[in-house]
Amino acid sequence: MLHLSQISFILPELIIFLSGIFILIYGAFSKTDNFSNINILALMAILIAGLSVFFIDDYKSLFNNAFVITPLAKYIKLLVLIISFLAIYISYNYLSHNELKVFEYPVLLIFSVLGMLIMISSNDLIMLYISIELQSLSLYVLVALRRRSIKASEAALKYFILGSIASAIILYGASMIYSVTGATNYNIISAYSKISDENIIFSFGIILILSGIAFKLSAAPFHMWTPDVYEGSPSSVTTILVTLPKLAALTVLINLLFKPFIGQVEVWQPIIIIISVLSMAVGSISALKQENLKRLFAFSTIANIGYVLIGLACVNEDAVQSSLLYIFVYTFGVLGVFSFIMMLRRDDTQLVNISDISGMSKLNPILSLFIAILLLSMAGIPPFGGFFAKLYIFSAAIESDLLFLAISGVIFSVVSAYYYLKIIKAIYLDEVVEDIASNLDKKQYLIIAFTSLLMLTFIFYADELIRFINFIYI
Amino acid sequence: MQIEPTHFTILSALLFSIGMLGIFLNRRSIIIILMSIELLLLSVNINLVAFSAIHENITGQIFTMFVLTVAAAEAAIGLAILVVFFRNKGSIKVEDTEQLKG
Repeated sequence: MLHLSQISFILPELIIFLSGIFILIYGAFSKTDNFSNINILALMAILIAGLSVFFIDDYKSLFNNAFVITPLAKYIKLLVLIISFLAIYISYNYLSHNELKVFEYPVLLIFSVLGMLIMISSNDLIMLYISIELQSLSLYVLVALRRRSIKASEAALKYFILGSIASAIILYGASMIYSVTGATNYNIISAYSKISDENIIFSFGIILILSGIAFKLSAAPFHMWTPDVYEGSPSSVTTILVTLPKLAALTVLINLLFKPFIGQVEVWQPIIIIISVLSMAVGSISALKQENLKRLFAFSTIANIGYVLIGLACVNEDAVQSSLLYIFVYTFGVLGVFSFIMMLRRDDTQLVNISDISGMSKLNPILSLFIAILLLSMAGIPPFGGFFAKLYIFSAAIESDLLFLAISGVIFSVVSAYYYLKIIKAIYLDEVVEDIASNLDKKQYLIIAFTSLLMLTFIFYADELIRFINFIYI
Repeated sequence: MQIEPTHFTILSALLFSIGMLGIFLNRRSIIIILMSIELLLLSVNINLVAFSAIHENITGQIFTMFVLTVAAAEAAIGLAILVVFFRNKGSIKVEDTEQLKG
């Protein structure tokens, strides 16, 4: 039974849901073009939902244990709401330049954020499946938003087909786990997995669910869709795709591995290790030959997910906390980079190639400096944020006797430094082609400045952040 | 012959495999892929309903209801995306999805 007092614990979800419905009705029935009003409404809703996260308890389980609130869930929810706020904030001018000012955009984004918030808190396989579908279905439509473009519709089609297969695989895994345990709740499955010996059907279910979630995380060998979808979708949607679903899927993975599947570590640990090494290798090596910035950062995302998974492969709490630190640095870094990609336009076309930004430093020295900081941080060069994030991950791997993972991580981060430095070389050393950004967008500029300063000053607040993350028990 | 739990599992696994093969071996129309996705979801339902009866709890049947609903929503969105693609490309052949590569 739902008591009225329980409503206060699902405040963020409730606010997001009601505002999504309200904006949908308001947008559908208002005759005039009032996209800016709807945009502000969506921003307000996400802001209020973000504030309401602070008012909920640290531990609470609701709806017959189908929905739990943990410090981990609260941290990721806050991060998801902040990133989605910034993503809506920076995309306003991009949408108006590209004739995408439709009210469906904020509505779909809000519903996909709702899906993610429920995903993060789900403690039941039914809840997990429904929320993953809510998140994915909204994102499929967002990718297809640019209706006249062949590339966008093809990207949406690929994303839809491969995403549905991944959901079906998760579902099949869930049905296998149900067939063994007779329950869908994590608590009961967890009790089962701790006492039972190896059961082939249970292991098979774990493997299927992990593969489906690895797809949502775009970890190799389930990454094939990533570059195509990121290239085809509008840059503002790509910004969302590289940040939010990764956060949510990572939390789901942590929740699954450390709650219901914790008794079967010997089944899933080798899988996570293989996925992690493969992602780092595929992401670093395939990005080398890319000239398109969006494709390049799609592969960079795959590599970064590989680093995040190192923390999960160690099977201890400290390592997971270093993964959470890494995903924090990664999401803000990639947000800055994609607001830069959104900003690049000449006349009426968006620019996406490395050759388009050559010699940018001579015309926009300050912007170039910010971008250089962001890229150096992603390459893992001290004293920027990315370096410390990688340092914590690798030291966690060494402490857990996974020396092999740490060594391959270092090798592939050297490989990936090549393509980040290639962009910096194009900006600073190559000849000027043409003035690319004569009328820079203020909002996007602000976010680029903010994220690069976040990476630059990481050493000053690193202690605070780590102390905060240390409170997150799984 | 007595029908045992393994028979349901085998049936569901067979249907799931047919769905997967339908997606990856199909070289003709994207509509067939959408049909195969439906098959994937429905094969899971057999598993869930069968084990709901065996375990004598209703969770599996509730799960099935949700899966059916989601399958309908997914089919609607899939067809909508397919219509958008057809308007741009004028074809729904699998080999015509070749704009994005590299």
